[in-house]
Amino acid sequence: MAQPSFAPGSFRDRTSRVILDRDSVYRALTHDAHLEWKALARTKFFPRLMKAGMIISTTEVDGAAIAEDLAPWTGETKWTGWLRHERVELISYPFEWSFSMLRDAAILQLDVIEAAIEEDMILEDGSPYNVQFRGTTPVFIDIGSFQRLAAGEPWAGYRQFCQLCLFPLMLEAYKGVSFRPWLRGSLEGIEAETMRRLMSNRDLLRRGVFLHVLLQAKLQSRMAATDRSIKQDLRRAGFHKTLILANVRRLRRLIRRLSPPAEASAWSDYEQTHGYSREDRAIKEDFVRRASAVQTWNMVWDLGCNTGTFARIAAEHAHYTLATDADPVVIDLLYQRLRDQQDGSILPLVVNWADSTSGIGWRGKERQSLTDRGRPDLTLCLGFLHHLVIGAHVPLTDFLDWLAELDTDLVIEFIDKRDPAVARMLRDRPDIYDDYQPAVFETRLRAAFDIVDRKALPMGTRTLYFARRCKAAGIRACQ
Amino acid sequence: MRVEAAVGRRRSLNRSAHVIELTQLGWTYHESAAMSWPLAYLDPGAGSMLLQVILGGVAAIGVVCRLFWGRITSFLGIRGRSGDDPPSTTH
Repeated sequence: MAQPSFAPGSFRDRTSRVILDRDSVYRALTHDAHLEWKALARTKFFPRLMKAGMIISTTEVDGAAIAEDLAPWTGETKWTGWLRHERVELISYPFEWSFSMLRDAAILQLDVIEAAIEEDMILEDGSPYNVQFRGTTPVFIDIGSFQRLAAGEPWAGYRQFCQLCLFPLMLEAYKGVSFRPWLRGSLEGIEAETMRRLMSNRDLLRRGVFLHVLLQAKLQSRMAATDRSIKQDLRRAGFHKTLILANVRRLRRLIRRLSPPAEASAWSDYEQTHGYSREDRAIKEDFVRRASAVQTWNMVWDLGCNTGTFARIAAEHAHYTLATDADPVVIDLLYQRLRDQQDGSILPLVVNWADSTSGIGWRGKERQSLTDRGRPDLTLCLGFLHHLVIGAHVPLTDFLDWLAELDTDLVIEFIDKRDPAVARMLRDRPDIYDDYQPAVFETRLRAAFDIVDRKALPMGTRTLYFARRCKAAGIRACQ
Repeated sequence: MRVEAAVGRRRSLNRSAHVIELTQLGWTYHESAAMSWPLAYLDPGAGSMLLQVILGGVAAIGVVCRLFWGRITSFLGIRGRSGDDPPSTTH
């Protein structure tokens, strides 16, 4: 069983630290942070938003009463208060979200601020890392971010909100450029000056660009050299929280109207182009259904989920399902559909498994790779293998070794080279993929898994396998 | 506010009074309240804070006037409001 540990990303705010322990998340508070918590606990909006599912369920607990294994932390004199939070099933990061997910997370933050300001509280920052998704519902988790709003002071998190929420959304909405590589490449997001350089003269006329991008960039460079206390100046001039409220509402109106350019991606019309006959399709769905039904899974991962059909089938027998695809358009469509159906057990994410994030940030641990955040006990690799092996040149054996390391059961589809989907990929390049053969595949699969079920589809070029980890199948050693 | 032609020296602080010398402008601020954001770790950005006044829209007109009026009168060397005079104490 894992030891309790500090959440690796929780260190910038010195006044509270998050500790992960089994099924609970604890937050240790310093004296000052404890005062802020007490103020928060007295408000009306906090329980209201918790009940509405917008803020993570949080209760104060007695430090002395917490399990013994937290003793190394509960004894530290600087922690005077303890909170327990409900745990999010799987942590995800903004650079894994689709457009609508980032937009909904941004709007949630603004809604929380609006509710808090009415009772003279505010969020000290504006980071989408403070929002997590449970299924398709965004939830605000950073309770330590709530503070009493001092009279006459502006929202300190506005700049961060622009860098990590507004500008990335504008980049995708106005320029059709994916924000994910930017957010993954820089944890601080996109700065106003950088954004300004990306905007053409025509873009300056677009909603929100002149004020939030151009003017902010100009003011930031003008004020960079000064030692004046702007906070002091604003307070004396009578800055009032209604100005923050006006800005928050304006931002929300702006963000609601942002949408990515309506274009079909190569994969968004998959339902028409997938090449399966109705019979093949029915057999495949039935195969996946039977395999998923053998037990209740803790966590299912679908690598290359596209429309999410098979993720949904597996989700019927799982506590939680992660549906990933490298195509952000496809994930956005899936997210919107799941959100409309209020399905809370499937989390869609944009992930390119050939190029998935390793640890980044401070010491390379602040934000972790997906496999460090969670592990599946069932993985679906349907119509996916050839993308990795032929499309991304990952050796077949390497990929199967990786799956074996994940320690997961597997539903995997092998599509051979005669199939039009693969033939298309090999059309204009030399076939150097000697390892991509059914015999090689099966041999390697058997080395780490027990093949429990196998089905060749009538079309003749695609074969499905249900393979279980050797341990799970009760076999001492695989061949 | 007193004008002081000091160059790059910072006096020692005590808890309740805080003296900052601004070499570029030669102004001295005396702040009687303690720093108001003990808990904020984030750099809010001076320019971004100022922008929020403009983003406040119509509601901010009064604030803008007071903000810039103070700067204009200070620049011209006209004595500001009585509250700007420094307390006579403290190092």
